[in-house]
Amino acid sequence: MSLQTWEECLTTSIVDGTANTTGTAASCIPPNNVIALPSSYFQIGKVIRVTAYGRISCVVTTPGTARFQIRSGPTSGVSIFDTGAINLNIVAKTNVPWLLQAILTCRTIGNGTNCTFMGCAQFESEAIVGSPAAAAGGNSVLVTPVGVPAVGSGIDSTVVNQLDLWFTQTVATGSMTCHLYVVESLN
Amino acid sequence: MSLLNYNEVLTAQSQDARPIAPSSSISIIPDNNIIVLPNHLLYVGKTIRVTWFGQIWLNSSGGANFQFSIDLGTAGSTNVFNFLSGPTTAVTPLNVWTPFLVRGIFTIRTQGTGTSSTAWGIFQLCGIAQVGSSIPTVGGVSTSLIPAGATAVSNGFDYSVANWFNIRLNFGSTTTVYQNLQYVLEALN
Repeated sequence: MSLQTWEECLTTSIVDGTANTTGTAASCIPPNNVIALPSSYFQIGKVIRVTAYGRISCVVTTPGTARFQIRSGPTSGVSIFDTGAINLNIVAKTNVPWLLQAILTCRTIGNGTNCTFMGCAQFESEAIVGSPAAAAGGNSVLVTPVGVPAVGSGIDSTVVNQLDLWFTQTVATGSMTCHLYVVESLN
Repeated sequence: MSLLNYNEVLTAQSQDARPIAPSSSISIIPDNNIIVLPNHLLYVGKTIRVTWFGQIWLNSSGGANFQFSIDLGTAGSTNVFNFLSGPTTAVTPLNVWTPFLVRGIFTIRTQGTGTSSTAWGIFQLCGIAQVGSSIPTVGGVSTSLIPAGATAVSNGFDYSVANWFNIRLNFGSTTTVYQNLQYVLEALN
């Protein structure tokens, strides 16, 4: 019983992404890992797994929020999956690890904005609000999107689309660097 | 759209490993699953996913720190990822097996001889044996990320030689027992 497809790794990073310290949204992966998927690559039922890992710092009391977006479109301008704002720890953290594991399934295809994805991601870090220190009780885990799950913004699946990972920390006092980025096509 | 490669399972454990209570570093997987990766397999960009699952037995109210490591090199003797302390807890149900899961992924960053091959990796540990964890009937179990502190590249190894791939464990207490039940090693590319 098979769909006669196979899993494949579409890209994997071998250098760090640019550190984001500005408090504004930007791609967090190395530019060479922003892959271009051919036109009509996305079909209904296509499943993509994104795994990313890095380090994050946040300041005491007013750490702001963190937010990841998987973006696509001809210029990576469309957020096809958004974790929503993740409250960060009010206890200062410096360069603690974070792990993001996301799965997206293509729900609809078409031109304009008709191609949509349902996504879910697990974000884990000591930098999540309320997380104990690693030595005192592990790291907190959030299943995102924060709030009500819904399909992301739509793209045009009939054209070449980039796939990118963006990050925003709402305050410029923090820092985030992506160390590892892996995209797999599961079918 | 492809790098013209595919995911493959390099090895999968199909029998229980022996229970171990090590006070020094010892392999947790069956000998048949300690595979030898050919020289030059671990080139830059190679991505490996590793998953193992087992059961842990605490029979000491003091708990114990435990420390996994992933070892490469001849006879798996080169420690590449050395997990920082993953402390068990004193309040975990004692004298009963509880499940424990580890999932990790790493990518080769540099390749070379001697100790100039390195990787970046992240590992997720999950089990009620971790300090501060709830029990399943009360709440979710604790997970933690390794490295626990500041992130860093792995220790170096030699990618130009055949490398054994092994998982080892070291307990801070010999009264704690671990038995591995499942182990899967995948190459993603």
